[in-house]
Amino acid sequence: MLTLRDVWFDYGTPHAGEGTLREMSLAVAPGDRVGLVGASGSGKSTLLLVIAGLRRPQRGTVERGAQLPSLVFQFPERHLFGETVHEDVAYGLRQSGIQAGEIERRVHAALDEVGLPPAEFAARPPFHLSGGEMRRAALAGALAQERPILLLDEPTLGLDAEGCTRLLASLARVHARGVALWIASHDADFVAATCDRIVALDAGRVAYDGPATAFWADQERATRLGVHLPRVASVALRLRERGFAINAPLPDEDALHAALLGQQVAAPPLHLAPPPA
Amino acid sequence: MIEVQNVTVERPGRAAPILEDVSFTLASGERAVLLGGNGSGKTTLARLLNGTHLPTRGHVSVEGHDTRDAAGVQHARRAVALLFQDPDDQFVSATAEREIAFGLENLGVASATMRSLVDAALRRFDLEAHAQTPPHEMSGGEKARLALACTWVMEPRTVVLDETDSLLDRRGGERLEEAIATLPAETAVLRLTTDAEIAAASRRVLFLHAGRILADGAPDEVFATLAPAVEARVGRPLAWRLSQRLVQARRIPRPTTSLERLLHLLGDPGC
Repeated sequence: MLTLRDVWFDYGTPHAGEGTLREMSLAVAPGDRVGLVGASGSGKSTLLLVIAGLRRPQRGTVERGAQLPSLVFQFPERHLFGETVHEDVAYGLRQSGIQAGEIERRVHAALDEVGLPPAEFAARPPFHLSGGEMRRAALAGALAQERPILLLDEPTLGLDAEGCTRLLASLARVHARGVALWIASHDADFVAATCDRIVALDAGRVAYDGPATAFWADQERATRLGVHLPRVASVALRLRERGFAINAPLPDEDALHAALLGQQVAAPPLHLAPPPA
Repeated sequence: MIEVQNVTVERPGRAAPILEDVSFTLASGERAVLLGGNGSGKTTLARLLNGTHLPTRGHVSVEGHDTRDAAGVQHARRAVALLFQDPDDQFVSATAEREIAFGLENLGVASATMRSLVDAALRRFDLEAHAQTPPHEMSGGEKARLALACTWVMEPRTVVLDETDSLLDRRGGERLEEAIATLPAETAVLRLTTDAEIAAASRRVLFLHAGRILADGAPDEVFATLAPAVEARVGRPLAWRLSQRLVQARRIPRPTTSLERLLHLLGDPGC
């Protein structure tokens, strides 16, 4: 649904290197749940901007369908501006020339989706909401676009556990409707819970593109790339060092519990999803 | 030493207070975590500590100076440094070294002294290669270290970090921890977080919920006293969840937030 071929991008600043992309070839596929990981400055946010069509590469091609992806920036609540939540969520739809009835339907559906019931929230100024609610209102603005690809840049930043759980549920429903998700994040627990494919960047190049379980299984590589491990993986590592029998690279809590009780834990299959073409 | 006594903060138009009857003390050199969900009042509480916000009722006293007095506010702003979640929110200068010098310039520090203090800060926080870099072009980890360097050079007695680590990658997080560890032993550090795992690694946790401090103590004590519905806002540390299941299985006597203590309770011969 979207293909990057040999894409190069450079901001051209004196401190170039940060956010520069080199010979990048990637495919965004229907049904994707991709975790985009890598050290700070490896190019994650820049790649999302290129996929979203907000930055044009100096070399290479980006082939995409008629509809651009939606992008939810870091701290998206800072971009809220409407006098009401409704106005904010509807803004992009109005700019796209969508009819009033359809705008109403989409605004209501998007606010319901993120857990801000329209009857209670649509008429309120977005700046009177709590931080977590503002984040959800900003996400509703992206969901209302109903684009086939949703890109999120550090969506859990500053969210508490309850906010992360809500976001996880919203994204699961969005994905079930056929939307491809690409999530750039340092939050390994969230990526591990959401994504079955990992694209890891290293200094602007693709260092890994494949199944999530195989990525988390190679902890040396994750460490080399500056990627946090999910907490279950780091606890499993420490328990293995103490002689507990845990074979799975990314065990669930049941498996850790069984290991602590002295029971053998079977390794799950290493491939949740086929590697992308 | 900071003393917060029966502090309530109200805002016009809000039915419930932002903070209600909050009391605690933070001793010189103490390292503590303020844990709470979104909207619990953490940032308001942080701003009370350096006089950016003032209590509606109650007192905040920094080294004996009440922040409601004009002289007390000046004292609090020198003594207590706040680091924001996104360092970009606090940068105003064209280069990293000018950013570090900014606070010293405001105090009228002589230029030769300022030069040596700025150089020392650049060295201490591993930013020498970035002296001439514009702060907004630095990586997240470098920005966090620059913010800490700007703070360190002002010699505050207390540093308050408002989720400063949430933007960082693995190496950036480790280097921030190293940088915090290089602060003088007498500097108190209060870290604000929504992350139960960060709280689990601290000696002292203050748990803030809906503007009230519901618990204040060692992590094991704090998580043992919290009602599940309240605790759900910040989640539970993984070691706590695992140990609760081992308690139910009658393998250990009590839950704990520490994997090491869990293994000890389980009778691990390696402990």
